[in-house]
Amino acid sequence: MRKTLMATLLLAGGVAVALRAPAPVPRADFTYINRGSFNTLDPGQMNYHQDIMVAMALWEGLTSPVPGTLEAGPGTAAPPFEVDADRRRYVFSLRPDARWSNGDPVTAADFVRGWRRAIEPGTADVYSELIAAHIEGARAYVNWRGEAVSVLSLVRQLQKGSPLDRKSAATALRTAAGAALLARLGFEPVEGGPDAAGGALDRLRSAPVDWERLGDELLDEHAAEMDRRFAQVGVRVLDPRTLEVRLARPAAYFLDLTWFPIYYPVHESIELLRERYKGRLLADTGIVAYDPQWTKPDYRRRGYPGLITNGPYRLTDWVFKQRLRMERNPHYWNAAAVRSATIESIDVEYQNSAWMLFEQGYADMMSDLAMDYTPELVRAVRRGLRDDVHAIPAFGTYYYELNARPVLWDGRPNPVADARVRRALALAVDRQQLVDHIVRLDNPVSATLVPPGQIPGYRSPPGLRRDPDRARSLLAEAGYPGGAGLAPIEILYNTGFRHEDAAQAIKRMWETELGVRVELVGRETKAFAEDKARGRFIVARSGWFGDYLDPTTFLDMLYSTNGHNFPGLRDARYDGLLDAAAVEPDPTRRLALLSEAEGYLLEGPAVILPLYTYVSVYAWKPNVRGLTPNPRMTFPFQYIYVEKR
Amino acid sequence: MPEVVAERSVLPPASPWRRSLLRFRRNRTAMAGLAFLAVLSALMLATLPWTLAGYDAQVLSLGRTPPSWSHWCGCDTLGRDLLQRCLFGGLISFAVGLGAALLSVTVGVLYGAVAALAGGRVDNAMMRFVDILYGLPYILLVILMKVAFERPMTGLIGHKPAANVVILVAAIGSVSWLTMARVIRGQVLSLREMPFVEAARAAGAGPLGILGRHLLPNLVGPIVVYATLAVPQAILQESFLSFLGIGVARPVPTWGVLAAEGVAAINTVVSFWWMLLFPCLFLGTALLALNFVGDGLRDAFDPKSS
Repeated sequence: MRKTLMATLLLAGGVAVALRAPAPVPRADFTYINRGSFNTLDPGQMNYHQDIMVAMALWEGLTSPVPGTLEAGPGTAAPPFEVDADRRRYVFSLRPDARWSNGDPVTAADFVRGWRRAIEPGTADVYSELIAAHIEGARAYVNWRGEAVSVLSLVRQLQKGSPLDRKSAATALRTAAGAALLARLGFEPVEGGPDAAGGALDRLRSAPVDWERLGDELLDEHAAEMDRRFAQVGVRVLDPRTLEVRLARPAAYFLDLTWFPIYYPVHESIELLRERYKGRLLADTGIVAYDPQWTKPDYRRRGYPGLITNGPYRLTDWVFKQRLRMERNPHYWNAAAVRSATIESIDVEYQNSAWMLFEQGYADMMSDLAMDYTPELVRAVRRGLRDDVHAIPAFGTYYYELNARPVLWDGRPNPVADARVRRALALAVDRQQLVDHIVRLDNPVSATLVPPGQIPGYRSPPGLRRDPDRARSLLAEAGYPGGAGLAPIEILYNTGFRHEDAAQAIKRMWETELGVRVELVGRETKAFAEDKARGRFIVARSGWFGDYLDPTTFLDMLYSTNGHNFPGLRDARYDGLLDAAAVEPDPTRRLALLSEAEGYLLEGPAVILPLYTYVSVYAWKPNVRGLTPNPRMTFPFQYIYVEKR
Repeated sequence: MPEVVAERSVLPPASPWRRSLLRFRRNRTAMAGLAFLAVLSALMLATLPWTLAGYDAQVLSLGRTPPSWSHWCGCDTLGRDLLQRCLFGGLISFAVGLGAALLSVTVGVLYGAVAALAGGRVDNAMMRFVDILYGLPYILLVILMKVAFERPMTGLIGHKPAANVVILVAAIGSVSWLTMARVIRGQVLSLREMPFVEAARAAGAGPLGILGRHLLPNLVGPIVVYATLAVPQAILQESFLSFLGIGVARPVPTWGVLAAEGVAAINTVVSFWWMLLFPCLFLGTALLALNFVGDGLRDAFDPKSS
């Protein structure tokens, strides 16, 4: 009897130990739910708003954004900043008390490391352009490195005997580095079309060369020149606390860029995780590579201490697609002003579940609401029934793109190839109806791509406002009176998120006002994105949020060589206006040129049909303080706190 | 009048078809279902001119208005009359469901019966082909058919939404006949060894005669059961494909599409219930009626029942 009791007790005890839950972490001082989960915490590779927001809490650039206006305020460098008369040279003095989360002082070299990392092939990403386009010599360095890496990759492929991508191999051989390689092996340089490059490739493949030795030699020669080349990039350490920056051209908004993650410093401990090749600090293809786990707080390979940051917070826990937690960085120079000691972000996959968690008080804030009933929530606020949902006009535009190519992807003639037809379509749309009855978030209607009234000093052009009579006469002028003879116009959109309703309403507007035939093509999101990127559309739905407070963040998309130029616009006048603005030193005249460019874009080629300005809907509890709404919905976390009742 | 019914039942008509018809007519639920389907179809056809003009007539300011005397079923998000959309969408759903079911039943029955009657290598080859098609995901086949036939069919018909529906019927019908073919083959294999078939063969009936006069009446049960299942299945498949963007293109409504839109209008804050209720009411009652009719037909055509 006693034995049985003992055994039972032991078993129960064992089960209890086994089932014991980990000690619950107390709720953070401020908890919020993101629209999407975090993708990366590498400041050089961030694209998503939620990542950038968290990076702003963990790191600090030369400046940091002033809450609300997002102007460049005091950051790791203390104002006033020394600016030369030509506004192309800046000198930043770092604060003596600026420290990393392990207590090390933040140095000018940390900034050079971060910026260099942000443009190096292998660690660069889409936002690298913000450095390459603005810092003197950065573009040349990026191109030089890119060519060398492409040639080295080709050599390594030949070494391993792996199948070659002929197109990229041919491109590599046509570069200066490629020509040098061919000359070194005694081959003719590649001239002419892809066939000639193909011939050179075949000769290379059959050449009796020790590719591994050649590759290593090339790598060493390249590595020896790398630092000399980088010295020509306009960022220089004058002394450990002083950084000199030279710009490619004056940019009025440059200081605003310096609080963006791509311009953040990186702690030297990352070098412990640099991938090596036979003792060299470069990979065999010449790229600079790091162990991607360096952004984890508890990663300990090769003596790495875990992620070290210099911002108001330091990372304590990050479980991918579950939660991210940070605590106040005691070494932050302004730690006394950091309001909440701990901040936690929880990932919830479904918007409905997220909303219920918020309603039940498990989170203090929910970002970017996108439920079907969001308009109803906003309406409830307007009627005074609730006070925790906020609709904020965003720095982003919802628009349609119209294909400018004469022939469609499948060989059909493009019905909207004539600019007059595109203009007619723009003039026939009733934006107010769309906003009032479909989007229903009181979005400002917008006839321009750059959201009007948000960039100081920028005067938005009028654009094509509703004028059905003019639309009809333009259509007749183009040879399609009353829409007769015009092939059906297809609207491509991604299914869900109310895009369907907007497309149906616009279809009806075009049909009733112009007599044209319109067909709707709904696609699942991934297929839609692919179709749009490859120009497989006549009219396609689109949306864009500006990254920095300058019209070029929108207008550059339609430059003929830009990767986002989905309508395929090739317009010398538009490109010329953007080029002129890029070299214009006077900020006022520059903005005037950009305004002229936008006006021409909308009323001339008319490949962009702006519909309305986005509205971001956020929810936060009434006792949340220090949260400063703004069009870019960028608010520094260090000012946010929950008022205890 | 019980006397009349009793009188008729003592004098059964000679033809098995007429006997079946009589049995079907005595089945109250089946007749009610048939009557409902007939009334609904007549209503949808009679109102076609009105619904065709109105199914995409948007009055944006009427968006999400609840049912009223001027709009009996309320309005959808774009201010279109939901009754008109339900009636017109019902026609499309019926067309897709019946068309696809008819196609799959015809192909399946003929294929299965031919395979079973031919036997041997032909049967083997034909059924392996069915196995191969079974192995391919049906979505893939539907997409391939759409890609291959969309342009030529649009050119042939000259009206893209109509061509769209035709291709959808063909695509759904041509991927859902496989089960039918297998079932029918199995049935025919066992039936053809039955004494009455052997008797017919001994009496000099050809394979076509045996198929038409002796096998098909015995196959009516499984065919009807399968067909009644195939109609709602095709309707559901259509709405799934529409959601993926490869079904019927907006703004042409179907019950599936309307129900999907209705689900999106239901939430914890404000629910526009009529957008879900009415399409589902139409869809549900029509499917119920179809099932009643199917049951009745099966009972009526069962050769073993007296």
